Amino acid sequence: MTRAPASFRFFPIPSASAKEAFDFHKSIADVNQHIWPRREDEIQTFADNGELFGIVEDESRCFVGLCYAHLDEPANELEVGGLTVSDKFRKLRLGTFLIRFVLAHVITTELPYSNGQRLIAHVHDENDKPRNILSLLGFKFVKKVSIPGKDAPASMKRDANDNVPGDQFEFELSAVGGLYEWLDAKFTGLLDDGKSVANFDYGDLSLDNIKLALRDISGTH
Amino acid sequence: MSYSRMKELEKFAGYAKTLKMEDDVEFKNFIAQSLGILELSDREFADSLSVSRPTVNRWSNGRNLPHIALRRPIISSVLARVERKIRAINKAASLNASDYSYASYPIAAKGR
Repeated sequence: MTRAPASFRFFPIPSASAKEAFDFHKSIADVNQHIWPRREDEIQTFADNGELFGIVEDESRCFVGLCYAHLDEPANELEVGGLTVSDKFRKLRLGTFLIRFVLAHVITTELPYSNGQRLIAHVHDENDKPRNILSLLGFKFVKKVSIPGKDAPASMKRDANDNVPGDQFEFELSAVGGLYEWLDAKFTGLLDDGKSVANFDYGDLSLDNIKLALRDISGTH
Repeated sequence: MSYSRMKELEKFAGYAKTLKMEDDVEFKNFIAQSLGILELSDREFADSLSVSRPTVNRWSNGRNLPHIALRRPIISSVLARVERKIRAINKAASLNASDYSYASYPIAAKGR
């Protein structure tokens, strides 16, 4: 008998699922010294605030991907971060789909560009996987950043000066057109293997409305 | 109480149907009023729309607003909730009325 293709749901994570999301995050952050490990209460707060996004494999109902998007109002920065994806499904490039899902959501519900807010991400100096994803999606390198070792979790890799080195990237307004074109023309509801299903669950807002909004935003520059 | 609540909900539904999507101030006021009329916390309201609680706060005070293309589905979602509440009040009122008719007959009969 032929096995049915895998299917994955991309969605904003509700408070009730924060514990499972934390367990997933911890399972990856514990063994990766490039990831900023979050405490359970931090993940809970992201979920309580509706700032946590994830991927669940429908068959196992387990988390296989996670990230957050947090608007720092005083700094005028909307940061997408904490991208973690299960190694088991890495070949499906779930991370690129998740970041696109989140970008489309926050750009259309918050209109950061109309409010002078930058959309940014940070990546550890030696963490190539998310760096490649960000470049592919149109993020541009902005600057090097260095976090003093005393302010960073003990698990994170330091440089010779005991700082945690990284890069800041920005998703500029000029990149929104590419995101819209991908959602409109390339995204068929399947992942890159052409079989596995990717269900972008925007609730009542709907993918079609999100696309309409993105098309308009990308045409405004 | 139920009657005045129902009138309040009906009035709000009528107002929601006339909103101009492109009017930022109207939309901001609509979100703020929706929280009150639906008797929802900002978290419940946010969950129902798959957005963050801070996002709803920013919408209701006008700091950040959703794109115009998303305002119609947001209003529709609120309207659907309002209409569910109206139906629930109507149902409860009709149940009360039928309770009254069943209960009143034996009492009246006893009095004879």
